[in-house]
Amino acid sequence: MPLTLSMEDSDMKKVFFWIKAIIFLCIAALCICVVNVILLPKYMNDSQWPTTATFTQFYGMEDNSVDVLFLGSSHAASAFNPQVVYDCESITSYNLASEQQNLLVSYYWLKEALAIQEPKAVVLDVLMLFDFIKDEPLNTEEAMQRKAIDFMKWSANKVEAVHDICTYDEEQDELSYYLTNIRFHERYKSLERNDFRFLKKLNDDNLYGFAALHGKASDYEWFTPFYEQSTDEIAEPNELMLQYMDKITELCRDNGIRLYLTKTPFENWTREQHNFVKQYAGSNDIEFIDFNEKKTYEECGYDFVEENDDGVHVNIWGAERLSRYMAEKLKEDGLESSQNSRYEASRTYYASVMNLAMMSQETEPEQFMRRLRDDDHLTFMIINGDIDERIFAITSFNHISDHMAYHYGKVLTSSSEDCFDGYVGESEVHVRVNDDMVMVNDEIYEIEEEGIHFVVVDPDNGRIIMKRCFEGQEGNK
Amino acid sequence: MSFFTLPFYALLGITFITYYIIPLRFRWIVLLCASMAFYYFSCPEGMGIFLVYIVVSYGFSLWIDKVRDRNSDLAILLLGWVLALLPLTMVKWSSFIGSDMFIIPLGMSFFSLQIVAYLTDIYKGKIEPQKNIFRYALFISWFPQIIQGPIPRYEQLDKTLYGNRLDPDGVTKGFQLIIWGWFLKLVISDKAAVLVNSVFDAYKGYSGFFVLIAGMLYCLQLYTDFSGCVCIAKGISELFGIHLPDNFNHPFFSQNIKEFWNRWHISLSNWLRDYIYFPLGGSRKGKMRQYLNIMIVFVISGLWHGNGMTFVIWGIINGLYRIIGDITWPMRKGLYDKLHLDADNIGFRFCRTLFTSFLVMIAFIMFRADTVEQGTYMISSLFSTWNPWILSNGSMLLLGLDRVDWIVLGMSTALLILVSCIQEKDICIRDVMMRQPFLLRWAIYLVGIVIIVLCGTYGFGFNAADFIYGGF
Repeated sequence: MPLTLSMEDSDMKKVFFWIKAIIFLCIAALCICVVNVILLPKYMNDSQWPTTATFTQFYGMEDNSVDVLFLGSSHAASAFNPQVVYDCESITSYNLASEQQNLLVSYYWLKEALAIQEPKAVVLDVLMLFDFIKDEPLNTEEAMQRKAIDFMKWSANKVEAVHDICTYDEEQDELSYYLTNIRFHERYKSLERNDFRFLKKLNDDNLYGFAALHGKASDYEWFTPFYEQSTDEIAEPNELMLQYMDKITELCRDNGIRLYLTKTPFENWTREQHNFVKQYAGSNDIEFIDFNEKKTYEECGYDFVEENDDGVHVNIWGAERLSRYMAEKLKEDGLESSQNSRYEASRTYYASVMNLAMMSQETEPEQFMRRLRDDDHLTFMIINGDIDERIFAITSFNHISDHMAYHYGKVLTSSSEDCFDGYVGESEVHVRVNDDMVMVNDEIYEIEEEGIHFVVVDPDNGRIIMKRCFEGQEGNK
Repeated sequence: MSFFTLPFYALLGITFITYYIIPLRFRWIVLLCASMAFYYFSCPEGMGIFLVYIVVSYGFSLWIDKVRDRNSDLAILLLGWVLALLPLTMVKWSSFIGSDMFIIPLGMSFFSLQIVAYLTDIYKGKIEPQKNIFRYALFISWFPQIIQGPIPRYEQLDKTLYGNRLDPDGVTKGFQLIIWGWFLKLVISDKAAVLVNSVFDAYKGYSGFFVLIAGMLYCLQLYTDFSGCVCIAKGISELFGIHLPDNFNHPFFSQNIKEFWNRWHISLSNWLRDYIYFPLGGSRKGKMRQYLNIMIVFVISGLWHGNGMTFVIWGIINGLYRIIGDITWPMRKGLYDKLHLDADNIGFRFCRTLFTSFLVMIAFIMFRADTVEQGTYMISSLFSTWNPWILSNGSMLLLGLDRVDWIVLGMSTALLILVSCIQEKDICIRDVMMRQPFLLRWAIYLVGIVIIVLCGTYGFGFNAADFIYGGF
């Protein structure tokens, strides 16, 4: 009897062992997943190219609520603004374009999107149809493929995408797309708040994948931004990219989606490339909208000198024109308008983004300070040297001390001491100010020139997003 | 397929589950299949030679057993030795003449010695030969130990190799060893390797304390690489209830070179002692003969470790250490007595340990060097420059390790020393852990895993799959 009992105990111990082993392995796997997510580099709305926000926020869209998808490289990401498309024609759209997004990535993101949305139209920028980085097997840098694929949810589409990427680029390892710590484990040395906040909650602020660029590369007066000469020659496409172009065309056709090919205004786009795409579009019954053609360029009202960011990308003002043009085009082609509360609500956020863009371009301190009233960021003002006090009178801003923090134009913190060191209001933004520098969390802005210095900080992540200096003495602006 | 690839752990998982599902008497077959699969996927081109090795040595084992006590048995044993060691000798010889004409089966350096020990032990009547060729094949091919050892004797394995019941505590302890092995390899060894490679690859630009630091870190790298790998091999074996012999016993706590070799790569040292040193006469035939035997053993050890003159010289340096240590011992003993230095005094012990480790490090610089000229240059440059300020002027941050890496390496090494000190007191940390509540144990395992994932040196730019001893 005792022997039987002992054997039963032993069997029970073994059963518990297996149960415990399985539970432990599950917890260990969960821990590794969490570590993987934390270690992934994140590019949120405070980044110039908010790739992470683009893809993760897309999953937050209500099912079947997006009628148009924009795909392609950074050219498309900065050129098509879904908020403007909605404001113009009440058409809901989402911009899934990203930096150096090759057509393989575009294809798989389109497939992934079709799992949750039923778009009526897809607008694809065709830059990547041609050689972009010749030495790269996938035409673009590995880092850019990862930026786009790492935040795709685990699914059959992701498995297929990863498999294709690693088939064409043998230096990449499939496992590293699932256990991303293999690629990013050194990032533990440079983790920041975004990496942990990402787990907690995604920012609701949504530009629907649009990358808002504020710059103006104004040295293009010499440049003719449309084709002047005609030629019948055609450029050779990248063979692999052409295969995926065909797949995108087929996928759209199979799903009854109207496909538009487009090319945003770009100084290096050639007539030969245009000819190839036109020929391809013609043979596949697809519309090709080339903003580098004189007619289209003039119809949309784009101004290359004022509305390009860097000669390559369209800035936020240019994006308004291109987006309006596309919205009207889509409407003409029969896309129906529909009210969407989400897009209605996000107008406020877009307005604040536009306000920030305007602030970045203001040349007068008075105008800049007026815009601060509509700005939801934290702005630090530091006065260095003599200034013209009339600026404060004109703008009705309180000038209590030489170090002040504003929020929506109201004073949050001020200090008449030589330096300030502390948290601003109830935010988690720690600021240290003295005559030589402003340090926001760990970021430093050095104060060298005399004048009024403004440092604009995103209160959400404590990062400096803009630095401006206006010389204060009258007549010395 | 190595200890740091997903297919290896897939194979391990499948083997583990299958092993404990099927009836006890068939379990060893699962291990044999897993070992053969591991070998095939790791080294398909060497599979044929490996199988020939098994069949031929199996035949010899039966033959030796059959003719035991007859006049011809020694000749058969020697023939068995020649056949077991000839391919290994040819590979070593070919490397000296710069030829690369042989297919080298995976783990040949290890299983050749295993076969020699097996045949000799049968000849001496210490063991009975394994009559079942498949069971014998499992002994030779047991996959966790075939790449990097240890080199087990048949009597050490046969009791546990051929099927065991599930022992949850044993499995847990095996798992603990695997995690510790990962930690040693990924967090310490491969991180130390970054600086070591920087200095050794551009050795002409470094001298004095640069070489000292690189030499010390190479000792750390080699030790944690090899002992980490053995921990993983032992841990995996323990998942199946199989106990591999220990291969290290904190060698850098040794008081002298003789003790170092009793603590470093124990299974190889024992093999050299039992199958080379003793048959040559050991210390029984006078001092001069003993020193010659020591030198022969160390030169063979050097040859076994690598292909090239640097390894032979490394062996000679160690042989000289041993001989000089033996010759000067009466003189040193007299000096210690005269100075009233107590052998148990902690300060004195520490100084001896430090000096022994320094001697070992000098030899390991030659071991790591690509050429004899490089080794000689680095050893001489160690003494030719006095530049301790490089330790504090930021120079150490220009050799591939940043501040965080140094902190991680320092803390990990401190943990290794702490664990070693505890183990030196004959405390088994794994037993202590087994007495803790399982939630605490789980927390420790999970923290360990996360630390390895975060701080380990692996992935892009690093190849954790390569173990240093795997190349021997």
